[in-house]
Amino acid sequence: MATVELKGLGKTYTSGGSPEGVRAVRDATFSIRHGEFVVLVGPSGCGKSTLLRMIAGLEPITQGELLIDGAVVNEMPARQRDIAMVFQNYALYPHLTVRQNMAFGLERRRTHGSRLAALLSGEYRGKREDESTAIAQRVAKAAETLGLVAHLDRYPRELSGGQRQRVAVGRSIVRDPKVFLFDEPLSNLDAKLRHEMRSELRQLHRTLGATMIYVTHDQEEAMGLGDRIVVLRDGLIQQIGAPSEIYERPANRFVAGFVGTPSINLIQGRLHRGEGTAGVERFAADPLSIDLPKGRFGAAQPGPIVLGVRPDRLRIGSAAASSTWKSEATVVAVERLGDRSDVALRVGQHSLLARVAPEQAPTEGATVTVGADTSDMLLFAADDAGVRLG
Amino acid sequence: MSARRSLVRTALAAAAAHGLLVGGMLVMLLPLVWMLCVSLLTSERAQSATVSGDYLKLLPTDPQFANYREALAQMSSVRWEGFRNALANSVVVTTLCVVATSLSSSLVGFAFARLRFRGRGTLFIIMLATMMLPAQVTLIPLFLLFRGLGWIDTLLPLIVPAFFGNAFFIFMYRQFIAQIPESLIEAAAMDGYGWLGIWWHIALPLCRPVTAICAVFTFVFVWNDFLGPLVFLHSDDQATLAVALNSFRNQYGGVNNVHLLMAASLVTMLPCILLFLAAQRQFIEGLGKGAVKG
Repeated sequence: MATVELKGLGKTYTSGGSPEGVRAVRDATFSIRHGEFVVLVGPSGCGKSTLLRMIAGLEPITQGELLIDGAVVNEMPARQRDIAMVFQNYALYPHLTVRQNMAFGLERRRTHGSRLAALLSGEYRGKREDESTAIAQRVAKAAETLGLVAHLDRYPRELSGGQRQRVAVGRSIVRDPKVFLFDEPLSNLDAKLRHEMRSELRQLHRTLGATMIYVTHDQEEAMGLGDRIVVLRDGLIQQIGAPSEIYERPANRFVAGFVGTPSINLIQGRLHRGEGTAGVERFAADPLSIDLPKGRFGAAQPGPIVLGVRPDRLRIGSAAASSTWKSEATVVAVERLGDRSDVALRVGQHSLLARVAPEQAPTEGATVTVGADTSDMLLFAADDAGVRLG
Repeated sequence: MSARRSLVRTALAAAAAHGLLVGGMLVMLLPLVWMLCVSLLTSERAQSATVSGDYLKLLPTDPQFANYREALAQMSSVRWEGFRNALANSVVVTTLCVVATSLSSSLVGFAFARLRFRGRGTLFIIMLATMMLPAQVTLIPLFLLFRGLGWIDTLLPLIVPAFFGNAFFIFMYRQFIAQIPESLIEAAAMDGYGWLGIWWHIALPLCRPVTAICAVFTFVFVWNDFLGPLVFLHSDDQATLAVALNSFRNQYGGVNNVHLLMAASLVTMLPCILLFLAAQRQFIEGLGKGAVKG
């Protein structure tokens, strides 16, 4: 277990064609506590893998400092950092069995490694054998945890994707490293297996209590796994926070749109102050007009603005009766997903998506009442940064 | 109907291909069979079969296996000693060369494939350029160098250069190692291994097909090498089999000893043939991989 601290960490590739290079990661600053599970998430090319590889020591750091357990490790080679990494393509050694794959890192850490010395000295041989037993025990324990006992003598090519993934995880846990890194480890698995492995990883984290850093482009995976989530875009950290915080209070429009399935409804409009009834501001996006309680969006200035509301906070039909904001809408399409239904709605030129219980799903083409509480609404600046205003 | 016609066509094509292959094989095998036959004849029959062209007498009706013992025993003035020395020298030189060439070439190939260092491209081209130099061109400078080191008439000039790699095999290893997924190398680095450890534990085992080719080629080349031992070795007791066979030919090269010469030649060839048969599968796999991945 260890703490990891990033202080203004950055990566510039000089061979990017432009004279000043390409900045893959800029000014990443945050710290990870003992035993925390942190997920780096963002669309492809956002620099999350680069950041992870810098922590691993596989990518030289060009700006800032990286500290593990309080010590700066910028210049320390990967093999000395005592970090384990699970790769996207598993990276199992094809010429070694599962058992040998898992023991590989431990073999390196033997203090009595020499077979020759073991031949020459009885005492040395004894110590070497003790070490071998210890390695075998650790491999056996990890194999048991991961359900790999029956496959220990097989080669990676004889295993299924999920089993290979387990071996890759097993190879990390036998080493008992300071920090675990995961680079999109589940992206090669099918949806069902991915879900299973996700809960297994979560459980593993609880059992080991180890510091884990996990990279994924799948926000659902990030929400499901992380104690904290770091959302990245174009090499810049957009927000760091617990999954619920990221979901409920996204820092900007990008985070709001990236996190949550289906994606948040965003409506371009204008904010008018003092035109509504007493104590309210009015958001207007013809034909929509929403009265917002004054004060809740203190930072918002009159003018162009973007309003966001999550699909699961929209209600339709009778359920919308008690909502603080209501409007008439046309049902464009209904997607029945079993436990829930996604309803595509149209209000004027605005498209909205509502996620409702299956029994509430209206028929396509019908006109229904759609509503939401203003307390569930978010306002974002209309500029490129799109900062949340309240 | 058309299905039947295509079947016939396939069968004809297969027959033609096999005919061609069998024909080629016969052409290749003929000298070997001829050697084997002559080596088992009596002196008189061998003479009439080879000199007077009486090919009907080529088939050994009464195989003389003693020819082999006789030929090997007569390799030097002291019976058996010449053959024993030459065999030992050949085995030592060949074994060391095979091991050293595989290790050094793969190490250098690994470095060219995986390590990033200034001048890597230039160095690689210079290394490749040495492949264009015929061995004969460097023979005299090498002789002078080895003489300066006092290595003439020792086995060192035949062995030591193998520890510095072979341009062709370095190239092959480099191409092969460059195909190993980067993540495997990185995983080994995370597991605590340095470059040497990664080479030894990851790259080398994965390069088995290339190593098989390297080993077989080096074995055949070194075992049959004649020029090198002839130039660098003088005394009879340092001779390798190829050189010993040559002195045998000088001594017993007459028509009445042709059966002994063939027997000695066959014994000399035997290890290469056996090795080829044993490593055949690895070998073909390696050549195929080189072709696809190289």
